[in-house]
Amino acid sequence: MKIFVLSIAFATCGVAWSAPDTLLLEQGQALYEGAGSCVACHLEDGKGQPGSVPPLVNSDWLGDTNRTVAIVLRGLAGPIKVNAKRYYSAMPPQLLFDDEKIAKIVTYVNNAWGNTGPEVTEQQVSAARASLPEDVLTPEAVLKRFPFPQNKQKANGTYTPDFDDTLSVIDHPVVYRTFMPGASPAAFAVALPGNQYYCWDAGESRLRYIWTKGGFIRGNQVHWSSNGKPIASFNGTPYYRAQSSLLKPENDRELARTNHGTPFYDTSQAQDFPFVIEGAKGPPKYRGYRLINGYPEFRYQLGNHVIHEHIKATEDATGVVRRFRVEPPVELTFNVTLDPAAKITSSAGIVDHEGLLKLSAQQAREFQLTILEREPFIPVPVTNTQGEKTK
Amino acid sequence: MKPLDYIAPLLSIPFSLLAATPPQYSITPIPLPPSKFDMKQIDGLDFLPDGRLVVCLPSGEIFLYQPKSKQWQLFAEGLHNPLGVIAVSNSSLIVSQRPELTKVSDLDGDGKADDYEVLTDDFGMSGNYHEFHFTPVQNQQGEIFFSLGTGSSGDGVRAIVRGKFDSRGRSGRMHSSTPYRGCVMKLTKDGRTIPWSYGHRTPNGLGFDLEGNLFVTDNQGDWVGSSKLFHVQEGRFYGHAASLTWKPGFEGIPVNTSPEVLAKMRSRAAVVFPHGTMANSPTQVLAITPEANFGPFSGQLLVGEMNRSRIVRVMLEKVDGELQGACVPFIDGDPLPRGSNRMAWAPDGSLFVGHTRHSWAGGEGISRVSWDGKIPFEVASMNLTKTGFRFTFTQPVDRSIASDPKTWPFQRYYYQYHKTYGSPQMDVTPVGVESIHISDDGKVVELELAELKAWHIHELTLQGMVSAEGQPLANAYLAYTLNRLLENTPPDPLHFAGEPTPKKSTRGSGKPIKMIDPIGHVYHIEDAQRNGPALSTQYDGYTGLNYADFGVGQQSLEWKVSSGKAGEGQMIVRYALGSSARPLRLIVNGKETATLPFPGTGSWSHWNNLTHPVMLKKGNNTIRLEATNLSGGNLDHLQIVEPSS
Repeated sequence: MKIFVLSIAFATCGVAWSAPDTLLLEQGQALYEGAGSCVACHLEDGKGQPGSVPPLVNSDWLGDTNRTVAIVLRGLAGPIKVNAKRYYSAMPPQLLFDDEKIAKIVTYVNNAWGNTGPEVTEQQVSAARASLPEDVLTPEAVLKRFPFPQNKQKANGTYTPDFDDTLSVIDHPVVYRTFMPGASPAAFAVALPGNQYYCWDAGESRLRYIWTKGGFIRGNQVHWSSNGKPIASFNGTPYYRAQSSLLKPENDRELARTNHGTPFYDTSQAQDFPFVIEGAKGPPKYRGYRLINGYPEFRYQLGNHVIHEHIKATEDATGVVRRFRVEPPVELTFNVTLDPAAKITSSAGIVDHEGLLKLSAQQAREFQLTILEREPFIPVPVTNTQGEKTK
Repeated sequence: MKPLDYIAPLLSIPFSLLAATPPQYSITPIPLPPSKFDMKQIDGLDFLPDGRLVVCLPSGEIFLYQPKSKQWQLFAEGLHNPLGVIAVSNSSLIVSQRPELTKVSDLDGDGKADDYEVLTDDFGMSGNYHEFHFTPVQNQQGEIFFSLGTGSSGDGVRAIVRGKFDSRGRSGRMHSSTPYRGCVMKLTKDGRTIPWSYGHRTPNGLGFDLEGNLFVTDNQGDWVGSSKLFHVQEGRFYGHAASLTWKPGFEGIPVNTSPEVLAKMRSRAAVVFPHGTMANSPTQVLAITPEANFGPFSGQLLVGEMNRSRIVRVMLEKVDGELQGACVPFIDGDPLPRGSNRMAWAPDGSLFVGHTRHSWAGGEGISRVSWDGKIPFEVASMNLTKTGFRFTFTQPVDRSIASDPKTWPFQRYYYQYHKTYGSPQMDVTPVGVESIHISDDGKVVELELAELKAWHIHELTLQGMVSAEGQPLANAYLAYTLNRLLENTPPDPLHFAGEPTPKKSTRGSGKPIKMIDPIGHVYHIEDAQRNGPALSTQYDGYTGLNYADFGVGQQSLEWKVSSGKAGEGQMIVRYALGSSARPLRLIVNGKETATLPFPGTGSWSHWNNLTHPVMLKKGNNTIRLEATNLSGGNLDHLQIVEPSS
């Protein structure tokens, strides 16, 4: 017994290293948390995002630092298993950082959040950069070059993606009617090329929210093959929500529950409809949708007026464009519902500070509302980031 | 323990001997559509005018199939649990999906749907999973009928519900808290959506007979003692209380209304399917048309069945102004999969069947059932006479067997009408045969019975019946729902029952014990959300304040448990079970993961632990144990051992 304890102590000593110095770690952290950097996907706590971005905390993949450096340098595209969980999102090669910075970042990651790993030197990164093939790595290439020890192979490697996984890359619009959180049971989940996703509610003929990070809804095979009870879920947080007076954002968790005794409200009590047309009494009546090149154009009726709503990602995929057509055209007020996380502009008229857009009949014939995700506020890194070398 | 009801000796005969697909019918599987989701369950099913098959899948995909080339083509996708389809043209379908009745059309002629028009969404959705929107049917006049399932107490309602919420319909086992759940609906030609009949629980299947009468099935459960077939008529109430919320003039809370008042309001079923022997979850109704190439049964109805591999045949007749009649298994057993949910006639007159399950007992795939043109030996019709029944056979019978009273062991019984789940067979009584008369051609046998009792099911399994040529009767088990007599029908005895007396065991004098060194976190029965099981202290040896006593029906217990880590932990259930095994379904975080065996422990005061691995999330989890069939044991507590790494 004693010998056993001693041998563990000895083994621990044998692989122990002195922790990298604090300044180095601080510089690494600043780079890690810099705008557009690692933090955007792997997040500040290094936990990644379920299903799409693998965690860096306690990850078996960090067991070989040469592997880590290679993935940072060349990127990794393809489904991987990390600590027995599946992740699908591709990691791009980190072209913005020179060898010194990559060394600092990996050193930080190796020692952040309770990780204990070696300090990485600039020379190590240079050597890797010189020896690795130029291509973005595939899971197979990584596993061949940097194999896992036998006892880690089951939990780490690659896998064959199913349809849900492949939805992480949207190359055509995907339209599902399904149960969505924060909407009536008559909801749509739509994924657009450009990886913009939205929830549209046929129960009240209104857009509910838009999100882009974290991938489209998941788990639908479970949903569809069972009794149909589960509500679809997704990993991201909406950057735009069209609030209404009956629905407050703090209800999020409750909005995803299915076992209420009584509802928060029923759609016969719904109010604050986005469109106000004089003489036309709400609520709007949902009429259906037409697929135009695969994109749904919803139609709903208010009084004698049919409103057509077609939603696409912006060209640069930083938001969505909602194109409206009103038939027959009529003077109207559109309550856009602002969200501090989104920037909203209209092709006709002006969205005022309360989110009201007043349009003449001529303007209402066809107009577009653009909703962009605002850049999240990220503090400027404390370290000097001048003079980035190119490779 | 109450004394055993009389059980006729015929019940001990294995059912494989009593029901079988006649040898003149063959069943072949159809290759499955190439679903993106590897979905093999088939929901809606119909034929286009051009002869192509259309099917809807639970995944929301709709595929077309060209039988000649055996080619599948994706027509539409993204629908929400489409359970039924009518092909109105080669490019346009009417589809029932959860939120609405939708016209799905290919307007640009590229072979793929591009327009999804709402025909009606003028009905509510609480978001409860059990609120299925079952198959639509269209009559000769172009009117459409569809049916709306009630919500299940297995879950509640969503934060936002569609349509006006009414709390009067929210109570009870199966609920109707938004408009018209539990109704058969009519969509008129001018676009009005109106509740057509009330009192349905799980009306999974509509169909017309050749005269244009509309029928709907219902599944056994609360207010439905055994599964049924109703002749749907405007404004009628068929027994399940919840939907009365929406019946004009009905006041009060339906589920709390006196069963006697409800029993007086309700219309009886044309056919009751005896539970456990005929059908447990009947599905679609399909008339055997003159164009169907399906044997000498034109005008009769086929009814699918989910729980076993069976399609039932129904023979109706009008007695005293109302339809009633007999049911008999027809297509039965391998290779027909279970879950025969939707049926349609192919252009060649063969029958196509879609199989599904949706997490209940059922099957998957598509079957084609075809007839070889030779006359099977079957009961062609069973008709009520003044003194008994007249059986008409498709072929002459063996006269010596048919004239023996032992061939005809009748019994009769009824099912109770009450809010509890299902009903035992009440007042089971053998009925003697007084005389037998066989027609000259040998095809018609008239039986005079010792007694005909109105409002009772009359059931028999013909013993050893063969045709004159020696061909055995493939389907010998028949049940005739005798509501009305040809003359002098007595008033409906209503057969209602009040609330059952509470189980004696809900209070008791059993002595608890103190728990010693649990290895995981202990969740007592008091911590669980109970859906059905009563708290009891009748037997010794439980821990905590009570144990849970599972009653009859789909009862369940659900605990909210927390785990500091994600991964595989263990659950330990302490229970006692003084009879044979009563398995419970395990549902972890909403997902069914196993059926736990719960073998008997020898006595009700002998407690054992059942241990099972369980995948836990970090944070909150739900562990639900749900009765699979009739009941469960007495459950004392749940222990959760968190994942170790």
